[in-house]
Amino acid sequence: MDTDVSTVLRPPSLEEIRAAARRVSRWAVRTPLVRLNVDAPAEVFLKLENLQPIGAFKIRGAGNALAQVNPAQLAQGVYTASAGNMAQGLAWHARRLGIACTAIVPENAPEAKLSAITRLEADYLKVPFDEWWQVMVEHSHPAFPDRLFVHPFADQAVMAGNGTIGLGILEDLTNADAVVVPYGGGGVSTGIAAAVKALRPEAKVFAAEVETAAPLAASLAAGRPTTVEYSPSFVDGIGGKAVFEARWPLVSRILDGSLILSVADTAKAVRLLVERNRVAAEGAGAASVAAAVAGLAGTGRVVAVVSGGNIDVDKLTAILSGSLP
Amino acid sequence: MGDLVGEAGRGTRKLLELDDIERARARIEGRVNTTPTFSSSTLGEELGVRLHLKAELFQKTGSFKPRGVFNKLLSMEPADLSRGLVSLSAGNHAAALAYGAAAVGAKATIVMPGTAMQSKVEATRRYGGEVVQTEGSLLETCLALQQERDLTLVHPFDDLAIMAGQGTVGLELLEQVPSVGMVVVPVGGGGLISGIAVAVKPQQPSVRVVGVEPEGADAMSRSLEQEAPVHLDKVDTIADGLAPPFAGEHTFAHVQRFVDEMVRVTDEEILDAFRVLIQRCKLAAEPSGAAGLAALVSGKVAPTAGSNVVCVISGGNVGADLLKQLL
Repeated sequence: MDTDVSTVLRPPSLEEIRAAARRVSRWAVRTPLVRLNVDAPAEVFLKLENLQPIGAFKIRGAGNALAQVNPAQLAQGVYTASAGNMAQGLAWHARRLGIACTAIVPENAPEAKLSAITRLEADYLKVPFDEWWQVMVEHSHPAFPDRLFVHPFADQAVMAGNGTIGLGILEDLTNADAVVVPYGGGGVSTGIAAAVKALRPEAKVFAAEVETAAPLAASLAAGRPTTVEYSPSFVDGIGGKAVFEARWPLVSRILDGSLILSVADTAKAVRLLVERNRVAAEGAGAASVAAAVAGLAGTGRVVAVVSGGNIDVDKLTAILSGSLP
Repeated sequence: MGDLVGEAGRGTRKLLELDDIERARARIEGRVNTTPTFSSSTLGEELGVRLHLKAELFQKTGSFKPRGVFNKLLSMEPADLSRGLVSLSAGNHAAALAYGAAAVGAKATIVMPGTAMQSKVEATRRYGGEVVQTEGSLLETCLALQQERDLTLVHPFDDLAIMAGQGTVGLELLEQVPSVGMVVVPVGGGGLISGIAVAVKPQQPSVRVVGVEPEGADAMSRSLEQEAPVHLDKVDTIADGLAPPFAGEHTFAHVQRFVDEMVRVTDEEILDAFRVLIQRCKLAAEPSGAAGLAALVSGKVAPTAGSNVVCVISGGNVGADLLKQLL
C-alpha cells in the first residue's frame, strides 16, 4: 500500500471511491450537510465531518487503508506521522482491531489531540518539526522497522477513503457549484475532487489555506512546487512549508485553485460556527467556511468541508472572547 | 384559557394519538428541518450502549420549538392568527414563535423573564417578535396582554397542537434508528416528551421513554409523585429552557400515561454533559439540551447494555458569552 517518495500520485477512480464507501459505511458516520445560518454572497452548506467519532474525517481514509492489508501484517502494529487527527483516526481503528499504534507528532501538537490519542489507547512520539516532515517524505521512521506505516494523505487507499466525503456531498446536494476543502497534505482535497469531478465535472473544488502556511497557493502561482515560510498558528491541522513533489502533478491539475484566509478570519469562522450552527470546529475545519462566507468560492451553492472539531478548550474560549489564540 | 389554567376536570383530558403526530408532520413539512441523528461511538462505548444523538440543535432557530409552533399556527383559524399572537417563554419558544409568526405573516408578542439570556431576547427580536420583559409573573403578564390587546395565546407546551408538532421528533428518530431501545428527553413543560412518547409507543411499545429534569426545576417529577400537575414556588437551575415552574395539564396527562421514567439531574451533571458534548461530540448545546445526556453520563439512567439509545439534544442557543463561561 505504500507510495514511495518517487511515485507520482494519481487520483482515486470513482470505482475505488465507491468501494471505499462500502467499507467506510461500517464505522464512519454519514455526516449531515446543513445550511450555514449566515447571510453570505454564496449559499453556504457545511459538510460536518467534525461529527465523526474521532471528531474528524480521518477515520474514513485510515479505515479504508487498513481494510486492504492482510491480518499478519496488521498484527505487527501500525504507525503514522500526524499532528493529531490522522493519529486519532488510525488509533481508533487500531483499538477496534486490537493492534498496537503509535503516532509520530510534531512538537507543537496541541494537548487536546495528544490526550485524544492516549484515550484511544495508542501512544505518541514527539519529534522536532523537521524530523516529523521527514517521516512524511520517507514514509518511514527507523524506530518502527516492522510496523505498517499509514501515510496521513499520500496513500491511494487513504485518498479513496477521503473521496467518500465527495460522494456524500453530491448525494445530498446534487447541484453543488463548488466545494471548499482545507488543504493540509492534499489528501482530502484530492480525494474529494476526484469524486466530485467524476460525478459533476462542472463543479469547482478549491483548497483553503491559512496565510501563515500556504504552500499550495504559492506553488500554483509559481507553476511548480514551492517552499514557503511556515509560522505556526492555532490553525494546526493544515499548512506546511511545501507541497509534496509526489502530490504536485495531481493537485495542480485537479484543484481549481487555493483560497487564502487570514488567521483572524479563520478564528471568526470558528466563532460563527459555534454561534450560528452550534458546532465546534478546529481552525483547519473553519478555514473552508471562512473562504465560502467571504465569497471566494463564488456566489452559487458552495459546500465548505468542516474537516474536524478537535480544538483545545482554551483556544475556543479565547476565540469566543474575541481574541486570537 | 382552559388550556392554560386547566379548570377542566382531570382524567377527562383528550390524549393525542399517532395520527395527530403524522398529520402534524405533513402540515409542517418544508417549514422545519428533518434533523440528523448520528452515532457517538466512543462515548457510547464508555456508556456500554450504542448511543445516537438526535440533533435538534440543528433545527431552525436552534431548538425543536418551531415544530410545535408551525403545527399550531398552520392549524389555527385565520381570524385568530390575524388578531396577533402572544406567549410566554424563557427563550426558545419565543424565538420559534417570532420566526413562525413572521413566516405566516402574523405578529407575535412574547413575555420573557427579565433574567432571560440576552442572546435569546435578541434572537426573538431579530425574527421580528415584540419582546415584553417582566420581573413579575410571566403568566399573569401574558394573560393581561392577551386581554388588553385581544391576542391569541400560543402556549409554549400545554397545547395539543404544540405537543403534536414536537412529536414529529419521535417519528424521525424511529425512522433513523429503527432498533431503538430507549429515548432520553430533556423535560421542561413536557411538550417535547409528550409528543415523542405518543409517536413512539404505539409503533414500538417496548421502547423506554425517559424524561430528564433539573433537580431545581422538577415540576413534572413532583407531579407524577403527587398524581396531579404541581406549581413550584421557585426554580433554580442553569438549564433556563427547562425551568417553567409548573407542569401542564395536558403534558402531565401524557407523561403519566406514556412515559416510563422521570429522572432528576443536578446542574453539575448538566454542565459535565454540556462539556462532553462540545469537547467530544463537537456540539455546542445549551445546558437544557445537555440534560438528557447528563442522565446517561451520570449513570442515573441505566439502559440495557449494548442497546440503542437515542438522546435528544433539544437546543443549542447558548450564546458565546455563556458558552465561554461554562467551558
